[in-house]
Amino acid sequence: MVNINLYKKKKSKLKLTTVLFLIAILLLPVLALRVTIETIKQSKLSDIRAEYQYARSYIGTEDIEPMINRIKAENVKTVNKTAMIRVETDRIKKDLIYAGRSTAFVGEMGIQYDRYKANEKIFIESMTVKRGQDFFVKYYNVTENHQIDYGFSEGLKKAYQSSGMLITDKKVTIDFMLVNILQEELTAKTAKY
Amino acid sequence: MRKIGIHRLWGILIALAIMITAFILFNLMTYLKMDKQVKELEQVAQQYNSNYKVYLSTSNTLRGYNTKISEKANELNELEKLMQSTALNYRKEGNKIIFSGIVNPGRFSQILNYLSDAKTLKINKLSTQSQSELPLLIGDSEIPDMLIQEMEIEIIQINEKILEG
Repeated sequence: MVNINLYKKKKSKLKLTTVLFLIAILLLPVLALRVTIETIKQSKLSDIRAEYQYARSYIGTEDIEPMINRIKAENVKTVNKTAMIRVETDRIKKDLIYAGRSTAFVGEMGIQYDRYKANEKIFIESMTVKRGQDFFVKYYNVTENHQIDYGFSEGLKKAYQSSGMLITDKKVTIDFMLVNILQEELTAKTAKY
Repeated sequence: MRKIGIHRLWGILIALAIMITAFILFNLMTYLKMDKQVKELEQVAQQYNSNYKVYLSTSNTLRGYNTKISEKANELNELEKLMQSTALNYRKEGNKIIFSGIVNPGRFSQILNYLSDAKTLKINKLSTQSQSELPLLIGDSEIPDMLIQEMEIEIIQINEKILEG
């Protein structure tokens, strides 16, 4: 018996399933590389999460673009909050400094008055304390028996200077019968507070 | 040696074209996009991290002030009690005590002494005038009363909403 190939000259044709199968095989390395890229991405995200602890909660495992947008939005919020806190802190610092200056100015008068009231008479003619302005006080310090040491006045000025206030004074001494009278105007340079 | 037929050659070329296109679309472009996004993410994360550290430090400073001020929160109430005990007709508006009127120098001195120890009270306004012509009455034994035209004392308070937000 002899085998005769009657279709020797016939062109061989590929089936559709074979073509699809071959294409799938061709795309396998591409898919493998795609999986590798995803692994690299997850590894990099993990590194970022580990390095930046405060941003960690906004970094997931999915699309990067929404993460970037969310962190940017949170960043703007944080910067705004920090600016507000800084403004409030500066206000409080200025308030505390002003509080110290204003209470020291009037408080020292009370302290010196109590200290010298047994031997000297103090008459406050006028006093002005107002934020943004220089503090001012005009008073009379009276000593008896022609004593020329005005304890109240000296004590007050020393106390002001030791608390860091810059003082200018204007004084007139009046010798009146049995008493010496010191009329003094003190201005504390506090307008900048 | 077998020759490669023209159809087979076309087949190989088409297969290569599909593979290269798929590589460019699904690998190269994806990688480049991912790399760019990861770099941008790292940059914004770094920026956020450092800004958040500054935020924590700034808010801790304010919290520190808040703690210290809160410890002295009763200073205004103490002043109020003192003014009540010296029978001064003041009025309280929020965190301020406002007074105007005539006051005896001894009582005024008590208020001044209290203020000297206060840490969180600020004198917004204080304007006083002697009730008598000076120095005409200096020879008198009594020190004349004072007219307080306006006195406004306020306690320093932090806006805690800022710390909460």
